[in-house]
Amino acid sequence: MKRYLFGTVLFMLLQACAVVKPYEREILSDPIMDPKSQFTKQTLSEKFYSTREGSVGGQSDIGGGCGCAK
Amino acid sequence: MKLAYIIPFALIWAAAEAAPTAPTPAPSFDLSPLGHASTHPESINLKQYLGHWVLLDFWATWCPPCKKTLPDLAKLKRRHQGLNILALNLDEDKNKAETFLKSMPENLVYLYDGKKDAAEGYAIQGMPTLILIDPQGNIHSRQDGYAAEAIADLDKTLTKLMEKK
Repeated sequence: MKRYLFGTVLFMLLQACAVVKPYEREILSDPIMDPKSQFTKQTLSEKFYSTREGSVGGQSDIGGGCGCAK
Repeated sequence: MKLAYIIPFALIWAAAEAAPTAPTPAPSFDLSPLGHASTHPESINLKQYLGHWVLLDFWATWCPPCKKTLPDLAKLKRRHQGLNILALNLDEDKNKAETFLKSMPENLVYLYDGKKDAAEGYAIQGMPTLILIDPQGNIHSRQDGYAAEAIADLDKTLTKLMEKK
């Protein structure tokens, strides 16, 4: 019984697998989809500081901002 | 004894390798023009290029190597006036392509394959993909994915092919 249940669950999970064709990778090629992206890290960091202490900016070396939250 | 089995198989394999392969007809398409070519109101069909060499380029604005290839293709077109280059765009948003094409050479014919029918028909395996079609409407050769030397190789091939004519 357990074996059938495991098989059914596995079968259902595999339904989510899909092959993305090379010409359908527009969204995947977006820099925000890159887990190593500095952009993602910076956006999350800015969100954290803005909600916790209301400070905005100073997250990058280029551009404005007081730099107090760095 | 083993040789008695191996030799017939080897002969069949050698004959299959030596046999000329049947030409593959290029799947036809009917697509709307983009960029400067969009001044022509009608759609463009591959069949209207029968009797001419055609180079298809599948590209998108989100694909950096594709963007790198387009100016090289424009140079190729300048070198081979008899060659028709159709650059098929695969962006989801047509406007992105239209904006990008404002800074691109005007000697290529840009088409929009929004439904990806042509990409599906040619079973694209990488971006960009270059497909050379002969005047009889058959696929001569193809390059799936970016290769730095692809355009130079294509230039040499086209020079030889045009000389034959």
